[in-house]
Amino acid sequence: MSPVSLSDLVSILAECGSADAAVPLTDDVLDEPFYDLGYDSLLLLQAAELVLQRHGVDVPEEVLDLAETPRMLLELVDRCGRGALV
Amino acid sequence: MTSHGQVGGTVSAERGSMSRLLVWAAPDEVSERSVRLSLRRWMSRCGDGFDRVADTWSQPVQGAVRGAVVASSGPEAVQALDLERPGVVLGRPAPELAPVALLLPGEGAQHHRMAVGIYRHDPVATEAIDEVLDLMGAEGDRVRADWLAEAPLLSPHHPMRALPMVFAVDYALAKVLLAWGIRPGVLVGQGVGELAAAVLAGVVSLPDAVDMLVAVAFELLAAPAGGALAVAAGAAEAAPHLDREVSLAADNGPGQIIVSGVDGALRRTEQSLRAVGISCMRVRAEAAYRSNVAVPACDAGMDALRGKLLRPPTWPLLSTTTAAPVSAEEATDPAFWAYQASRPVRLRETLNLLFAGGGYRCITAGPGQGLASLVRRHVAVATGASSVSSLLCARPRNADDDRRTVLAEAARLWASGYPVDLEQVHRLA
Repeated sequence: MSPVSLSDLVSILAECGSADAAVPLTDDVLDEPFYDLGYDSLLLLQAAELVLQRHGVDVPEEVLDLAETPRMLLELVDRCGRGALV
Repeated sequence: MTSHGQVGGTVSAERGSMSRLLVWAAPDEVSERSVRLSLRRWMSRCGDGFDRVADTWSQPVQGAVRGAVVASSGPEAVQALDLERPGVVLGRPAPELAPVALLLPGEGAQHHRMAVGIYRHDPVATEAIDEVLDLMGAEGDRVRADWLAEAPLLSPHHPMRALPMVFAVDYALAKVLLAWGIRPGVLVGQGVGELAAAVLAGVVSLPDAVDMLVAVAFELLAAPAGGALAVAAGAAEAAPHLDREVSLAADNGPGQIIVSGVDGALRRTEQSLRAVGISCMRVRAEAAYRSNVAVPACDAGMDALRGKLLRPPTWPLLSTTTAAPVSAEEATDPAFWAYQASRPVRLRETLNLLFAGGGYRCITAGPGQGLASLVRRHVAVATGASSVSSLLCARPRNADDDRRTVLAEAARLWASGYPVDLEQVHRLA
């Protein structure tokens, strides 16, 4: 298991949105709701699968559902990584 | 009052902690800031007189720079009116406004108690929803009771709940926009949203549309248990991994399709997709919508619609079933409408066609933000040639959130110069 930094997460999200033209995630949009950035639950699931694959951190679907913004997602990934959420 | 802005005023009844829309305008940016500052000062002194101040600042005003804010209390308004970190909507009406594309989401967009915050608060929406549900007779009463219930008897995703309610909410929100004075340049509906668009465009009467919808929903209950799967891949990439009893239900974009089918086949498809590393997830559909499984339901819809008066659209109508404008011939053919539920939704191609025709100000009128997020990913929106916003939010925390997001859309439209009848907007109370 390896820690997931903000830049790791941003590049994973960008990769997931790359088939479409999802809004690039820059610092000023980290607190915007995912829907406003063009990210829906399927893109977030894709991101969670890449997080598991590359960092060994498992973010269950029902936890993923709590992430409304990129910053909240980072927080949840971090908690899952520390075993604070199951 | 300040000399920089003009404000009108009315007094209305107490509205408790309801969200309110306040507007102002000024000749230029500098005076706009000073109007905003004076509103902020007034607001911070108003104590519990928020509604009184909101009433006074609710009226249309003249000025090249427009501002608006949605708030439900004095302190909240004061915070939003901060000059350094404004939580307000500011705009300068452009001489040329992009035409409005009204987008109506379909089945799958429903969620628990969607849009309840506008029901019995906005008279236009309330009348429209009641009109739809009253046409359903006793079942309509059960649909309404389940919709409003914290613990409904049937899930919001049950076909006899999802189909009528998504249709009713789409229709009601579109009616609200029309009442505000917004005149869409084009109507685009997804799934049952396309039927709502057909009613709005004068193709089919509301009673006939509801009859057909109920016939389809009722017959779907007899169909083999099925559902749908959202797949993070394009149609061609996913095709080799689909079970033969699973088919394309929606082509949403270059990286997202929805497939539907009977339960066992969906599970097999899920496994095949995962095995090759394609992400997929079950979506909120309790039937194999937009597949061959729905053909008997479409037959029932056809029986309901046969012989009914159908007219060519009086409003430009883009079909997501054909990814083309609806012709007079198609509009007046009952089979065109009845069999939509067995054919895939071609959203990707429809959006390509829409945006090839120029820039649009897209408004999604219906539950959730799934459709808006798909539109937002289109290159025409990502590059700023077109834009999209929604009347409702993805996850309302309470009923007032529904009112707040509807008012916020009114604020955005008004601030950017669209003709918005604010008297009508304030009827949401």
